[in-house]
Amino acid sequence: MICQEMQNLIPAYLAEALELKETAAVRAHLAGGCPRCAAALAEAEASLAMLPLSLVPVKPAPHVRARILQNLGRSPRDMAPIKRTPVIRWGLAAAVILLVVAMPAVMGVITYQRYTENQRISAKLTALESRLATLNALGRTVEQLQQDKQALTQRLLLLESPAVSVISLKGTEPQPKALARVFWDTESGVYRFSVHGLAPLAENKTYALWFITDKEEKIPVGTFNIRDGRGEITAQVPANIGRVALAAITDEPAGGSPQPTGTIQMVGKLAD
Amino acid sequence: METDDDFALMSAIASGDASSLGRLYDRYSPMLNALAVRVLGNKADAEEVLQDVFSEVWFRASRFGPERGSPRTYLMMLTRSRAIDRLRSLRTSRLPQVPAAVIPSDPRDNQQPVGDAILSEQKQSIAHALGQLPAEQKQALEHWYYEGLSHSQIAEKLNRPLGTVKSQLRQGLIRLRDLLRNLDSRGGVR
Repeated sequence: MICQEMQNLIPAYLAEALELKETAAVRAHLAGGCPRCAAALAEAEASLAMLPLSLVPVKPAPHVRARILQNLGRSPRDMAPIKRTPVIRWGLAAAVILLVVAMPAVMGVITYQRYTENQRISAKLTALESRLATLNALGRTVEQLQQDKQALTQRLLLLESPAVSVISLKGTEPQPKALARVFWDTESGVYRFSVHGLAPLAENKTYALWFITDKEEKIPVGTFNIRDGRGEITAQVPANIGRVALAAITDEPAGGSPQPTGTIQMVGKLAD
Repeated sequence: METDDDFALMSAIASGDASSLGRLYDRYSPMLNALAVRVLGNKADAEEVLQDVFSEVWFRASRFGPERGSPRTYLMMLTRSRAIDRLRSLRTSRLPQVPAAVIPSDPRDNQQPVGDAILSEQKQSIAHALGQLPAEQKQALEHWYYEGLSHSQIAEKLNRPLGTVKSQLRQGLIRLRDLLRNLDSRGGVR
């Protein structure tokens, strides 16, 4: 519970109108020394303390003042009461009653103090765990952002390279609206495919990219799936396969296939 | 009734100055006694509570600090607490109590010391604020504050659901605080 929520609970806390858990949480928070909530509590207490101002003042009897000042030298237990109540001898029964009543009360106080301390520690621990979770989440976000940055940097380098040619692949009859841009770095031999408009496949299938050589050999390059309407794959042309004439995309079983078994979805000429 | 002077009195009491306790008593005893009488329903029990309160003030003044609010707030809270404790004790002992309404008030008790303009203004503030509170909230607040009833007891007495009573108490306190705060900002004094 954040501090602002705690402050909103202060009036109810003062009126003893909170559930046990809420009461413990507010108490633990106040015990933690929050100045804002302490000020909110003081304000609520001051408001409540004004209620009796609506009453008609009642002057106490004159001897009350005298008795109070007379008893200043004594401890509270020694002070004579204003109204004498009948003295009843309790004797042994009183001693037993005192013991029976006092012990649970003392234990109750100790238990309550321990409970309050435990609640305070528990509240702090919860707050720390929450902060740790937030930090972990931030850490993951930072890591993801760094990965995204790396990927974007690579794309930018690819786009800026003077050795890059851009080629288009077009969809065939099954998917006539599909379009792929191929960024081909002729120096490094790296191809980057960015595919749009291909329909996602069932879970047991995947798209596969093939390089087809002049000798009509079909070289598997890699597989990819569609996410948010896009698919991407970066491929390095193997050095010893000869000249690549075409690139084609087929649908294959999940995990790919050593040779094309599915339908050609896209095709395009790669040769310069 | 200067709040700074109250803090000075408490400090003097903590140093063992009995005359300062006397001055504090003279300043607040009618108000505190009225509160105790309202809770307990009779002067005799109220005066015993008054003795307890000022005894505690005398022996514990060194523990009082500004973080506990103003001395007046402290005295009111202490008086109410002691009075409610005594009321609950009397309830279990089943001693008869005289309803507060039966106790006649002496018009001379209503007189305030000369120069108590601040207190007079504060009385007007609380009267105005209480007048602005919805009747159900004021009722719930007064039953809780003056009679020491639990929320269940208030619900039973007023024939309302428990949740409603808790909500009325909470809202009543919030509204009272806000009304007094507004009066503060307009130049009223707390």
